[in-house]
Amino acid sequence: MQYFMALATTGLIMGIIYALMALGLTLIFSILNVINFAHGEFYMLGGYFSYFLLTWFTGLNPFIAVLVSGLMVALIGLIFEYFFLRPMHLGRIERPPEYAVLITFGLSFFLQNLALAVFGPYPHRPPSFFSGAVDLGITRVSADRLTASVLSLVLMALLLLLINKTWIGKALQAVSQNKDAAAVVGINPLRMNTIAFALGVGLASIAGALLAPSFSIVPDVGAVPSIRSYVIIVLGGMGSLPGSILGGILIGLVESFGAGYFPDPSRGLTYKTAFGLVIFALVLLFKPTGFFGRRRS
Amino acid sequence: MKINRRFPFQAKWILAGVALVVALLAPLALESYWLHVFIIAYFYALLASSWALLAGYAGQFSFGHMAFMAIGGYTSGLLGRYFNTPPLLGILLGTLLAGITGLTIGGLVLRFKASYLALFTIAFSEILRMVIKGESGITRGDQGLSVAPLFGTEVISRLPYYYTMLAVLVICLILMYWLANSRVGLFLRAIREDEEAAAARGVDVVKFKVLTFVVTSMIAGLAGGFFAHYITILTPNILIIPQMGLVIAMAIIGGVESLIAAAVGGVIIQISLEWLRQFEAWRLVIFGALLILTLRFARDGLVTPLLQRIFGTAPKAELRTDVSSNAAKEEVNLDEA
Amino acid sequence: MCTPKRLLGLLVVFAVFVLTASACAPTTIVETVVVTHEVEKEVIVTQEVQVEKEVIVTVEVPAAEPEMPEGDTILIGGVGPLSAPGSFQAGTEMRNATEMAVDEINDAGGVLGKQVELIFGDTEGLPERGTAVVERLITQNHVVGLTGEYHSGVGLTEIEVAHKYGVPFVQAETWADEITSSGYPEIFRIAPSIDFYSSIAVNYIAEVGWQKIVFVVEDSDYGHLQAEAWTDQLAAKGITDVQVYFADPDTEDFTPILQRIQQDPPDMLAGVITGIGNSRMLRQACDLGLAPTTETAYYGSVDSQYPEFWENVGDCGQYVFYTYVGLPESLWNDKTGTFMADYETRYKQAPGGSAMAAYDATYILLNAIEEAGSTDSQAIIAALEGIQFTGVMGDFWFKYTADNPVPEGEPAWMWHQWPTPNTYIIQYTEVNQAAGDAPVVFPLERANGPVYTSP
Repeated sequence: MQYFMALATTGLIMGIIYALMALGLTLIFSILNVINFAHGEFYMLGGYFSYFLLTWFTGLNPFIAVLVSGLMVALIGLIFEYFFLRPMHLGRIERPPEYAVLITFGLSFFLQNLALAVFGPYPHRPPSFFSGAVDLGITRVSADRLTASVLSLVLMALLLLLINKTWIGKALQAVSQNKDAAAVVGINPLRMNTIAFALGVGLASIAGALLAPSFSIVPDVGAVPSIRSYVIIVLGGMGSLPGSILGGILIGLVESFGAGYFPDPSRGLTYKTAFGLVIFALVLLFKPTGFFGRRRS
Repeated sequence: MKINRRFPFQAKWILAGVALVVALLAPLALESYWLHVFIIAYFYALLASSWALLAGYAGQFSFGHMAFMAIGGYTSGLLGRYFNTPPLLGILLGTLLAGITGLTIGGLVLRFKASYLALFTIAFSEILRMVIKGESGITRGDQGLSVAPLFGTEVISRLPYYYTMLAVLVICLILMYWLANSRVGLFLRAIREDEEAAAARGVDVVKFKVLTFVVTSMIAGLAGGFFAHYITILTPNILIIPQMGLVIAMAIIGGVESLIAAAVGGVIIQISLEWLRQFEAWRLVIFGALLILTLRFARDGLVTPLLQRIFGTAPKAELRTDVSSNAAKEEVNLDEA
Repeated sequence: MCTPKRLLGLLVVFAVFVLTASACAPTTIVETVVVTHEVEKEVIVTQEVQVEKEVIVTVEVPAAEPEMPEGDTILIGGVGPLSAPGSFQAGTEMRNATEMAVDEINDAGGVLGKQVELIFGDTEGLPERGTAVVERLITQNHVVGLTGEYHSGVGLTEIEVAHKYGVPFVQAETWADEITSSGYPEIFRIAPSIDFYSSIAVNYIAEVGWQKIVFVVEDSDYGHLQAEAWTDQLAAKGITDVQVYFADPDTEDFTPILQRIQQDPPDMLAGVITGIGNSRMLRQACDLGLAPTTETAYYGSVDSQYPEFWENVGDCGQYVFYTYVGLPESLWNDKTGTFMADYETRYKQAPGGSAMAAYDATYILLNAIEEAGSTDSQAIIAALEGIQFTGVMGDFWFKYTADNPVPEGEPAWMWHQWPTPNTYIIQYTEVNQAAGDAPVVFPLERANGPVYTSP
């Protein structure tokens, strides 16, 4: 039982962080109707920016570094959206759905190799938020990981607050429900798109910066979180914020229990991801709207 | 319009003929190492052009293309290793298996929109890769599966492999070209532009989408089979997502609307990559940037406009009338579909 | 109409393209030029350098033989992983060390009176690339010998190519038994075989007295070979409570599997993952309070020797031990000291064991060419077989050769194998301790610290 609870705790802690990143992806999908195939690379950039900020400005508070990298990446996202995604919504691109897939995939390809060329292949690690580990009774968790999780929770709460209580949040909701109707009441969907994209990739980069002290960073550190985010949003329902949160936690638990209980330990870790992908493929086939997703207008 | 519409076709054939002659004679000027580079380039050209058929013509932006290639290669390799199957038979069986898998996947993704199709095929490709890697007892995983060379262990020269890969490329290109310019191609284009309208006009959307999947996955499998028996060693790394990305980049930069352009894109990019090896990571950065910029500003790829420049300014609409005017012309014939 | 001008333009474009491509590939003008043995003897007698150019005899060459260049330089090839998915860290330092060795030899006058030129190829850690690289080095660049390689999987395919063309290859850092048990006359190895390498750790475990062992090993060709060797050898020593888990080296989070292991903590936990996985697993085991602790010792992978180790694991690195292939500081000879200093000056970082191995392998090859007095493969191979050379890692020689084949009862991998490769267990006793300062703890006769320091 102790073992079960230990796994559940670590799964929950990780799941919350996964959810933060997936939220960003869902936000982008919900407003722009685009799956950002470069989401993992923004996660990666968050980690690198945080690392370099802390290396160049040694006295800098790590939390500030996380925030600043989030803002920097959001800015990059903003620029990308403006030049490469906005034309889709202005009718200047043929066959937008294919274009969206390809351009974000191309961005992913580009960013990964750019990171490799600029930062080099060696793993790096920004300094810890808090050193050591925390004894939770059932299990021990590294202070960094717990910090990342708590902060993710806070950010998610803030995000939901933003979406539900502020004007911008309501405008975003409006655009996600019906773009034309939103335009009729005076909301500029194009601006909302840009905001959503910047916000979405900003969240991914914060997740990356938060986890960098725990997992270290390399140019392709975003590949696995990327695929994991797709799985989460499909399970939770594309476009549904609560769905992504629940999906994130669920995947965190599944990964933890899967690896922990897989009968053949010599193969367990190898097949863990594959198992998740099979579930993912099945959900796509049989219940593409996931748990909470709705049909788009 | 008074411009001779046959002009692009005629020029294209002359161009193709010239390219073929050059390719046939190239070994006289090329060293063994560069023969290798060209053989690999033809392999990528095969993948890029078949992907262009699937994506550009049928509008199915599948990320599973390398998986079909791997099925072709590994089937032949495994059969050879455990049952001593002769290479050609192995390649045939590999191609068939790739086709059957293509049939299954094609059938499953029928109703998927672009994003979902991409996600699903990524999942398929990754699952396959993990299984190949995980079952290393059978497949030898990362250590590499030894595959018998196509022309046996006595033949050291690369020449026969060069001509074989070239022949496979040319034959497949001819096949795909015929398909693309036949009624089937027309229907595919119609489906891509507007699926509901095409269906309303009686086009059997299901049949043609699946047919394209089967044909292109078989070609990928065929490519994989010949590749395996040339390179004589297979690892799960052949189907990592960045490899798929490379093929996509080739097709798009070459021109996803035209098979020949995609093939040419494949050859040129592969050779350039080899040439630029000294720049290490930066060469892929350049291609990534080229991919994004081409997608945004030159949707038809770079090869086609280049050809246009050589032939003088044929207005853009002209080249596109290949399809749309034909569509207009043959609209009446759709009822025969 | 299709004007001739436009057609010509097209033709020009294609022609230019093909010609440029072929121009970039050096063309051999005559495929069958060989300097005969008699000519080379003349060269040795007269000590003249430029004679080869004039005395050329065209001889029919069977396809399998490499072509030998005339000219002012001696070309050798180096191979190793310089980019992912290969272990580029090791490969890069191997290339650096090989370059340094070649430069030093050239400064001292070169080999056979000529300057040595090195061409180092990136195998990317992939067998298919490695074979292509070696084939290119032999058939296009006409190297007279090869040195290097780090990955066994790649090395195994490369030896086939070297054997096909009969070109000597001194492998520096490949451990798979089959590299030398292949029995190929062209292949020599100075690294330990997996059998030998594993025995050091196994003997250490037996010495300290641990009974319950868990290995988390990377899911690769190396990992599987290694796990098998350890399990078999431990069993032979009566240590049977051994568990092996395989993990993708890119795994981010080892925590679930570590929690599983924590249910029944072993005496020793091994994290045999190369690359970023090494640090990840250690830190995660440390955070969980699993290892290194008083109950459970932690055995890291070879990557623990690199400088980024401390950046990535923090305090968790203290008490971690690992197997080091190379010569620890306490056992340096004069050459080692000079090498370490020169390497650090030139490349701004301390060299690891792989650098030492590559350096020595290069020297061995070039010394053999000098002793052979020619670039003929057979002569070089014969010289290698009889070589006696003191390098930075110790005294090199090959025990079993064509004249003295491996006898019954001796393992087949002893063929063309350096019998005493330096393999030690090193343990970090302080935080941020440099690899050079960490004490050698095993084998006991070479140790300069307590056999195991517990937290």
